[in-house]
Amino acid sequence: MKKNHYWFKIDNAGKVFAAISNANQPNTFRLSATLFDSVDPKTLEKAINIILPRFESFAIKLKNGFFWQYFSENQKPFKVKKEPAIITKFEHPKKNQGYLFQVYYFENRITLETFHALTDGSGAIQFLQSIIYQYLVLLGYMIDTEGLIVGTTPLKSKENEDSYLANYDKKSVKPEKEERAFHIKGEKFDHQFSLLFSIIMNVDELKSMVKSRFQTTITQYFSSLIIYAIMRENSEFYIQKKPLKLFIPINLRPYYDSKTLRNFSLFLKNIFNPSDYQMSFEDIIDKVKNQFKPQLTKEALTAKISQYVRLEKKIILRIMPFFIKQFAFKIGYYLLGSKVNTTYFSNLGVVKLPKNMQPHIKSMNFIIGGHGLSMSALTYDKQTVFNITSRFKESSVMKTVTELLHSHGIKFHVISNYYDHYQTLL
Amino acid sequence: MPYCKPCNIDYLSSHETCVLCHQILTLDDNGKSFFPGYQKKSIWATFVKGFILLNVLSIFITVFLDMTDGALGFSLIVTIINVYAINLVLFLTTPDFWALKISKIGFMTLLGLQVLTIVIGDIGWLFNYVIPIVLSINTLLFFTLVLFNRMRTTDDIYYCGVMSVIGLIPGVLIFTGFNRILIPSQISVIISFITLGYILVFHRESFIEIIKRKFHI
Repeated sequence: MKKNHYWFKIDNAGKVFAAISNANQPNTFRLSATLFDSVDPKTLEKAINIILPRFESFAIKLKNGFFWQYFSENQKPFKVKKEPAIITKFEHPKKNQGYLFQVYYFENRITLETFHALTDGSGAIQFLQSIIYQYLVLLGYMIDTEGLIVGTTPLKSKENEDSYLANYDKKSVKPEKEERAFHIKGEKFDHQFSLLFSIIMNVDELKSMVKSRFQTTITQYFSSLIIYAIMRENSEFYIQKKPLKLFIPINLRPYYDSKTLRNFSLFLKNIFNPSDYQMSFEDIIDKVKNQFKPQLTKEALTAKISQYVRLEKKIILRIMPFFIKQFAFKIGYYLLGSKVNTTYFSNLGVVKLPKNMQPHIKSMNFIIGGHGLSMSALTYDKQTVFNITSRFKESSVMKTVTELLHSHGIKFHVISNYYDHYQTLL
Repeated sequence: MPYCKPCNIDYLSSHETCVLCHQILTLDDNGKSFFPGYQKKSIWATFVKGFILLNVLSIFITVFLDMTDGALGFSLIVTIINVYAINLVLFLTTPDFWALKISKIGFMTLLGLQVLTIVIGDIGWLFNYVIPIVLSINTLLFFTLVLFNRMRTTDDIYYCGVMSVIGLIPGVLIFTGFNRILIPSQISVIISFITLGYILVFHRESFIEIIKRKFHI
């Protein structure tokens, strides 16, 4: 039943995203589905407004409390927009009727752009699937959901749970000192423009190559590609004498049997020192594999969750008025947070859709926006899309990645949002 | 399909030159437009930014000129007018969150008049007339919205409550002997009591709920 009044405390990750985000650090990500037919904006808007009350954790707006910000119910009608040219752009939380996500249409593509304070990729994909399902139903298609569409099942309170708090264990906290990381530098595009370089490949071909040649997983393979390309293409890496740190978000839901639609992920880290500068690609893969394993135990993950939650439980932080907290977060993030990682890579994995929905959806994509270079991947049907998003005008990392893929015998196509006349415009 | 020979890349999207090496692509066909093209922002957004910038410049120039003369009276008035103008333009261009903006305008009026009293050197006028009248008008405005149920969100109940509590300040000023002219302050206190009473009788649950949210209780 539709509720008129509800509110949530923002989860642990969301609190930081909400406090520090701005045009340079949008903390926004994009999920899109390309259909076989052109999108009808009116039907799409209707579909969203039908399913939105079911997704309480999305039908909200950001409000300022005395001690913390919080999410409050949002009853305003949602409006879809035509897709803008700039991807994952920062939208002020007060705009867009207060909603913290946007839904765009462009030709036959439906795009969901979400502010990270709201949810992570795994939560947002459930929402997008439900939007598409409802859209197809309104167009008159009969679809058997096979239990894969959350929007067709009754709302469970577990979906709105703050799973960080639910899995906090005071005893397992292991304080960890975070070293500053190597930072990529270079001239950036104007107007918050992010260059998107999407590499599309066949998943079966990729999987068999990765398994037979490197005995690894697709995530570890892509991570190694990125590390190799950054180390090779940045002579500064050796000079700065700081480690290269690749942060990879891990979906924690399977580890804790969580059903939350809100944020529930943590970063796993791949760390390479300047002395690893000349490492071969095979050695990089071995090191990546060895670094993955110990970080993926439930014990290590609980320790990390508890470490972050412990911070917000500190009495001094709890009693501090929000406007001071926000200022402190911004300063803290500027001094420490933004300097602890080199780049991100997020692999959302395989998207499963009901069989009846698949003939309507040609492809899907997942893009993360950042202040520098970020990578993401998603697999749907027979396609894996590996995206490199960059605010930098320099494109040598992309070039090295494509050369490596060629050398490993992977056939691929490329899509980019960079048009020829942008040289003078941006 | 556009193809870059040096990079050995097939593009599905339409390009004339390679994104990586900027060499001209070989075209079998033109490819497809996968993303909308970037266009410059509208003139209106530029106008708003320009207007804000001019007002800020005006503040700096007048403050600078006054400081060289040794008296800040004129520049304080210009500053408050400029800040007011910026707020009004933002109010017009971003129509959401009107309740909060009305409060802001109310407080700015108060601040502006306070500056005026400092300039003319009459603090009594501030306490006896300016503060009670501005608070009365603002509380009355919120009360009218609550009374006719014109609120857009439960937050308006909170703003109304806060405004009516602030509206009691002139009463404290009477009590402490600051205010000698009683009528404006008494009006402010009466309006505030009526508003608070109305909220607590008719919107008590919403008010408690919003207090819980704001203070994370």
